[in-house]
Amino acid sequence: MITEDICEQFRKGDKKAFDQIYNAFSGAMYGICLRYTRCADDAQEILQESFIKIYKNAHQYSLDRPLAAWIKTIVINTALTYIKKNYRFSLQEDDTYFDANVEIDLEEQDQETLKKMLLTFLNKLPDGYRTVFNLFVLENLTHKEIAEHLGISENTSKTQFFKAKKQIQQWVAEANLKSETV
Amino acid sequence: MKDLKNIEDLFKETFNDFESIPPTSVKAAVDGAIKKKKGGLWWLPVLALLLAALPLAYYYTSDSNIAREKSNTLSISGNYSSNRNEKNAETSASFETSTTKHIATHKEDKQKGAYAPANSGENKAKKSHDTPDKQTFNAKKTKTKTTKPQVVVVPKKKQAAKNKKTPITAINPSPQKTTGMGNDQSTEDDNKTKGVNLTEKPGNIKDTLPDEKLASNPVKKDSTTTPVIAKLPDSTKEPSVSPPDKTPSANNSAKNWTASLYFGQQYERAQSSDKAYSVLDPQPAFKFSGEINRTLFSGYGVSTGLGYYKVNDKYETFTYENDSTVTSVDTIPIYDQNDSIIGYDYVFHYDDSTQINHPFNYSISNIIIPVYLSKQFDLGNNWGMLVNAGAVFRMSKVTGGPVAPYGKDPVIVRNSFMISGRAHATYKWDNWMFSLGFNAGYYVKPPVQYHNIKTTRSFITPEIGVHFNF
Repeated sequence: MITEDICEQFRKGDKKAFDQIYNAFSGAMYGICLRYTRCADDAQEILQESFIKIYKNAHQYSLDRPLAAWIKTIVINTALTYIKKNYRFSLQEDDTYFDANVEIDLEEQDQETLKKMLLTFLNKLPDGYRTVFNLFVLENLTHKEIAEHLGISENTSKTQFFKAKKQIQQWVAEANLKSETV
Repeated sequence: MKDLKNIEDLFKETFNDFESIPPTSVKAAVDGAIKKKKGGLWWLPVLALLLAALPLAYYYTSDSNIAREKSNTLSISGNYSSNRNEKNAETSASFETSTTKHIATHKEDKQKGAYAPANSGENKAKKSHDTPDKQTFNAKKTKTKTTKPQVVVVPKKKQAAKNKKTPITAINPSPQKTTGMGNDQSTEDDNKTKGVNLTEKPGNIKDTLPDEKLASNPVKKDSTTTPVIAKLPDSTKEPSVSPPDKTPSANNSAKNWTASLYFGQQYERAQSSDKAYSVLDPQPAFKFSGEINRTLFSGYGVSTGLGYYKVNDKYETFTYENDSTVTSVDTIPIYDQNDSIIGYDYVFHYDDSTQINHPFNYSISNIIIPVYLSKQFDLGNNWGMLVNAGAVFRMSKVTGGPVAPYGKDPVIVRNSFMISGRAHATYKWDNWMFSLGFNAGYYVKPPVQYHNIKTTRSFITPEIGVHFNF
């Protein structure tokens, strides 16, 4: 439990308070990193870099903001910077998309298995698809905001998103097919 | 049983509280990096201090060299006087004792001709390399032969010399004299011969004497024709200790190098080319630099160096007025000919009146390398003007990083450069020069660049300069 007192100590650069914050948030933040990257190694690197930034910029944290949101912001920004720098993907606009917003059939399975499966799908997605999908679906950004973030056009963001969605749907269908045959 | 879900909802639900425990190696790496960064740039102030201390060290070293030269010269002159006078202040009793002792100690050396006859001024000069014991001995031995003249030379010590006179004559300083009275004459002759021989070695004197005046000392002349006493005072004259000319004009005429230290508060100005955007000016930063200048001709020269400043812990507020913010989204189904939904179209509603601030937090450490052409104007009465023009190369390191919530991340250009100039009023004091003025510049390649917006950046630094000519 992160109390206000711990936050205050953390702002002052207290290492013990930082350790407590790390213990409290590292799991959730690692989850975010895993969603944005191809593999666990990259996720760990982003997590490490993010927490170094968090410690170094502790004095910039304002107590009237939720700490979790502030930390999440840093982690996502770090992840995006990492992706831009290391993955070097190119995002190109494609006019041939349309949003087939169909519902999918999913075999009933336990939550953990489902998480693993969806995470695998995310990791398998091309870098551009995955980034846009994450930002749109899980961070609730608009395509305009995504476009600004990634330096692409709004249409490109939409294209990438719908392609990502289509790809996932295809994989889900394949997964269902496999489970039925078993 | 099958679960019907929209894929977006499925991901949202699944990853809403998704956590995964990171390996412990990540925490260890974070701790390691934090410890390492705590060390930080501690060496930079140390380097700056060293740079600042360099001209001081040079100054004091050269000063002590001058002092050493001076003391060497004086010691040679002092040897002359000590040969004559140093022990004159001693009581006659102690003088007798010590003289006997020295004679005994140096008996062997004397037999080898290590000591010159007392009436040879050259030998006295040569003895400047001797140990104090030897010098003392020389003084006492000399007194046996030149007692009278020495008393004349240093009248203040007359009484003391007189006191020494009796014991010296009582003691025979020459070991040959111990063989018998009959050898007295031959010993004196030997001494004379030895003295002549030694005076024929001008190299000995030149090696010992520091300057022309001493080298041309009449002591060189044959002791038999020129009384030593008349020459000794000449060699102790003040002019032999010629202190270096320290007038500023004399110094500066040959000193083409200048080490400079500048420091001041840098103010930057950032302007956007797009009226819809505005970029606030960065916070002022303390800047210092060490530079070295080589004067080539007529006050013109070139200078370069190393500097540092850090834009501290503040942020630039990046404002976009009349931004289009999405206030609502309408989802409109797209139907085919059979009236079944094949997709959705989105209609975004914007509010154009809002103003969004995108704060961008950062902390940039900058190492700068100025390269200037310089010109110094002499305005008389030690006052002058220093003008520099050139380029400043800047290497930046962002230590904060963007932490704005979904704001635009400006691009930090690590290596940038600017055209820059400097104008200082100067005042010279000996080898030192103090200056006050400003340094201004314009970024040809700005260090912070926003997407699709051109910003112009310039800076001005009121600064103080401390300079040392060498």
